[in-house]
Formats: sequence, C-alpha cells, structure tokens
Amino acid sequence: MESFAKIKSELQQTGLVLGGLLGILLVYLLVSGMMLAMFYTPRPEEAYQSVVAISSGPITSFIRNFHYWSSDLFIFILFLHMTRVALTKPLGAPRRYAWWLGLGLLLMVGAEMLIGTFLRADQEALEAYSHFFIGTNAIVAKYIPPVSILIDFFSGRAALFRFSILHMAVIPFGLLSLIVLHGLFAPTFRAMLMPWKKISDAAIRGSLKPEGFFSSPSVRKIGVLAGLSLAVIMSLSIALPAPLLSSPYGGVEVTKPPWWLLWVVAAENIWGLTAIVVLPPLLFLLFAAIPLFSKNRAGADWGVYVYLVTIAVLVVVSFWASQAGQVAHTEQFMQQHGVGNLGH
Amino acid sequence: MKILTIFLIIFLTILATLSAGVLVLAHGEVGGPSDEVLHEATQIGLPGAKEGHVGGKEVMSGLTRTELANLVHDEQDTENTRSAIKIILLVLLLGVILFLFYPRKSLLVPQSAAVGAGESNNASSDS
Repeated sequence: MESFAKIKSELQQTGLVLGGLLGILLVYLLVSGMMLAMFYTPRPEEAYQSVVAISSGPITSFIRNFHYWSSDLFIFILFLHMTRVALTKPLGAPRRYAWWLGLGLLLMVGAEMLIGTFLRADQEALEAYSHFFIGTNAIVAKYIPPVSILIDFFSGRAALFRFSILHMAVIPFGLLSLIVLHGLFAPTFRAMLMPWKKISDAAIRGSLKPEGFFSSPSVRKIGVLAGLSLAVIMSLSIALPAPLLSSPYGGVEVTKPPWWLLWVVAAENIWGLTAIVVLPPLLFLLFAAIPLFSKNRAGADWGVYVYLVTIAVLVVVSFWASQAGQVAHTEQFMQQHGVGNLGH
Repeated sequence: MKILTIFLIIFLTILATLSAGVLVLAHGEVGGPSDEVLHEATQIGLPGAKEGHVGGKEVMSGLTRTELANLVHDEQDTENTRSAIKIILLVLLLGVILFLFYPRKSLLVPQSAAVGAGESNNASSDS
C-alpha cells in the first residue's frame, strides 16, 4: 500500500511537469520542421510532388514521419497538461493568467496544425483549405465583411507560400514568445527557476552553479520524459508512416480531417458547415470561463465539472465522427447556397 | 469521489451507446442513392463538373467522384482506425490524470476556515 502511494506520488510529480515536456516536443517539431522545409516547395503546382519526393526517400520520409508523430504526441500531452491544470484549479491571478495564455497557445497550436495540413497539398489538404475558405469567405465574411480582405490574402497562387511562412516562421515565433510569458506565470516553472533566483548574486559575481537547476527533480523528470517520448516517436516513425493521400482535386469532399479535428466533423454532420465557424469560438469561450467557475476550496467545483463534461463530449463525438460515414459538407453547402468555383 | 463515479458511469454509458450506434449506422443507409446522384454538381469529368489539377495542369477528363473516393479509400480507412485508437488512448490517459489529480475533499477534519486556504490546489495534499 505504501509503495502504491509512493508510485502515485511519483506520477503526480511527473504530471506536474507535462508543460516542460511540451517545450521539449516543440523543439523536436522545430528541428524536424526545419529539416523538412529544406525539401518542401510551396508552389501549388509543385507542392504535392515535393511531399511525394520527401515521402519516397528513406531519410526524408523518416523526418516527415517524425514531424507527424511529434505533432500527434504534442496534442496528446497538451490535452493531458490542460486537464491536469483544470483539475488542480487555475486559481489566483498568476495561474489564471497562465490558463488564459495557455488558451492563446492552444489557439496558435490549432492554427499551426491546420496550416500544416494545408501544406501537405494532397486531397485532404485541399479539402481542409476548402473548409477554411468557404467557412470564412461565405459564412463569416457575410456578417463581418472585412474578413474577406484577409481571406483574399490567403487565396490564389500565393496562398501556399504565405501559409508556409505562417507555419514555419510567424506562428512558431508567436508560440515561443507566448510560452515565455505562460511559463513565467505558471507555478511549476517558477518553482523550477528557484535555484537560479537564489544564486542570482553569485551569478553576477561569476560563481554560478548550474547544477542547482539540472539536479532538480522536476528537470530530471522532464529529461526522462523527453527521452521516453523520443523513443516512442522514433519507433512510431519507423513502423507507421505519416498519411499522404492522392493528388488534390477541387470541389469534392471524400476525406476526413486529422483526429483532433473530428469533433468539428461530428458537429458538421449534425448542423452543416456553419458549425465550423460557430463551435470553435464557443469552445474557447467555455474554456476561458473555467477559472471563473473555480472555487478556492477542497474538492471538485463547477470549474472542474464544466471542464470534464466538455472534454467528455469532445472525446465522445470525436470517436463517433471517426467511425461515422463520410459526409460531403462543403459539397452540400455549395449546392444549397450556390457557391461557385472556390478560386484556389 | 461519488461525483467522479457518477461522472464516469455517465461518460462510459454515453460512449458505449454512441459506439453501438456508430457500428450500426457507420456506413449510412444501405441501398440509398449513390454519391453521383447525391452530389451530381461536383462530379469531376461530368458536364458542369469542377475540374481538378495535378502539377499545375488542369485535368479535363478527370475522375468521377466515386473514382476519387476509391483513390483515398484505403488510406482513409487506415486513418479512421488510427483516429479511433488515438482517441481511446487519449481517454485512457485522461483517466490516469483524473485518478491522479481529481480534487477530492480532504479526509482531514478542517480545524478552522483559515487552515488549508491556498492548499486546495495541491493534488498531492488532497490524496
């Protein structure tokens, strides 16, 4: 019983450093992404062929698989980290700010991964872009006309190049900047920095002892998790290649998006394409309100309940969408609203 | 703990119900209209259809929608299976996080309102 409590305590301590593991996974993604960028051509007529070429070479395909599985693991750990924070309650100003900054990071990660799907330039990529284009241009711009100016910027021949700049430079820079802020508000990270704070005078005098930081249990745990995740990602990259569908054909919808977007597909199956522009903002608002529901007392409260029910619904409908039949949302929308050529 | 149990029961019931529903209804109405009939306007290669492009060249005598769907069918099937496995794995891991960090009420008798203020966030102190 005592050993069980000890294991549980160890796991709890490990659960507290999942945010640090996300930082390490981001480094994996940045490094593998930089390597891939050297082989990728962001021109509409050449992009797909360049991805095929990347997937054909043994080394480049491994790097692409590594990038794909790193991003999947990143989303996994992100959900676990977010759940851990929701369960330990984002109370007090610093933790609330950390939660809201974390939501900003979640938004950026979502945009980064969606654009990463566009860059694949296969059938799924074009369909994902069609959703983005119709959702923003035919639905959002109807109520907020200036949006069409932004969408014009991300359509036509230059769109893929601009998306690649967003994916490879703009959003990663934003992510890294926001992570610094997020970390400074997060209690676990601040606790990890304590040894540095304590020896700041010594650092000024030139007798800094970095062992204080690297020998801390939290940093060691992050190191172990980083090694484990590297082994898992490498094994998956060797065994299971990243998906690449056929070359793109416009105007049809015959694929489904990646697993982390399936909850939107489930909503689309029920309410049509409009759901993709309504539900994500609603979900973010709900998550943003979690700290306001949390109470400074022992035991679960409305913040915990609302978060868990939301996650449960997301998971259930995602599973449903993964197994449900294919529904051509964009085609139905175009037929119902008479939207013509998409212009991509 | 009681609420956690109720929540898990409701969650698992919904999951089981939807899973069963999915298994029955996953492939839509048997014997219903084909995709060509449902989405006639977007049949590539048919009159009034949209055109595809490969390598910057327009494909005039392109594929029908069904041919295109068949092209991605195997990969899409694999992806659907992978997605389901990933979601199940995520649920299991979320279960572990729930077990480790669910904020249970302290078993200690509270001595005063002031005691423990600010400590309730610490999951290890609750366990």
